[in-house]
Amino acid sequence: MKVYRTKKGFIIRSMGDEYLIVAVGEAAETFNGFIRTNRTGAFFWYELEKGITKEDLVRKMLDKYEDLDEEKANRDLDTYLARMAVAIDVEERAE
Amino acid sequence: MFCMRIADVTVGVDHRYEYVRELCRDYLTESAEPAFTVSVSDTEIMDQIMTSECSRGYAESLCVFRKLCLRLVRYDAFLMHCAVIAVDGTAYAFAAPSGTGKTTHIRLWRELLGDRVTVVNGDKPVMRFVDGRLIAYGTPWRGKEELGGNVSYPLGGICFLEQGAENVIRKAGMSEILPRALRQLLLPKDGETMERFLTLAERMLRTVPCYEMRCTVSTDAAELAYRTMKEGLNG
Repeated sequence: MKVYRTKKGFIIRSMGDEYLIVAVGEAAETFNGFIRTNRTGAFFWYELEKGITKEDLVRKMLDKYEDLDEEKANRDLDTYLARMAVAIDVEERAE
Repeated sequence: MFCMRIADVTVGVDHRYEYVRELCRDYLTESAEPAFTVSVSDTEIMDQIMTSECSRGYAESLCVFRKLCLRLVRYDAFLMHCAVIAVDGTAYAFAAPSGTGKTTHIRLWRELLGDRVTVVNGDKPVMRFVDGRLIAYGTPWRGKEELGGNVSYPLGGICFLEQGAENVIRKAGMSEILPRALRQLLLPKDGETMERFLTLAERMLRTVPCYEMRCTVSTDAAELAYRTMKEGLNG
């Protein structure tokens, strides 16, 4: 089971109508920049802060967004995780 | 060790090389009660030399400036990499990637407006919120051309420049301008300062009119920028 979790030192903050993810502390030594995201991206982020599997996150997406089908949810999540790769850790955990 | 006034804050600099004191000569103060003091270690100076290939004194001065700008965040102030000129008591900022026309734009405004133009800083001014207004302050760090002085004016607009075949300017909303604005700012590394800094950056983008401009090298470009930003002052 793979658990996805935001890396230590990466924080999210609202900025006008959108959200910014920036690095602080040790993480800022290697990542000096920012990632922009929207409200949906922030929703993913808050779940990822707690640590979550892709399956569970897709389920939460389907609960939250009624029009969304599972295939698109998976695709959106993969795109998001790829874009956020620098800020997210993947842990392998026994079931 | 010497004390200087920057953005109306008295700061101490515990320096090693005379270069930085000489650089700051117009900002020195007799006051011996700085709000905070910065110093730079040998390791930091060496790291700076590795990236900038410069003298020790110059490297120290860069480190000093970065450090004091980050400390100034606590005083609602921050570094913005841009050129700032003032006309009739209002400052206007020009941001552009290095080497793409900030200095030229200063020259064009001078050609257009003559003595009405005061250069606040050609490269690294400090912005500070004072009584609800964002003020642009000159600093000793002012780019290769050494343009600017120890002066300050309220900031009336920020113009993000690009070179183009014709002159076009438009007002830009916060989300359009955010990435370009952030690239001109020195991002803090510690969490508390970052939080405070982003609050200031957001406030700047919300309260100071921002523009995107594509322009040629001509006084027409300066005229368009000046007229548009001046009109923008009233809402």
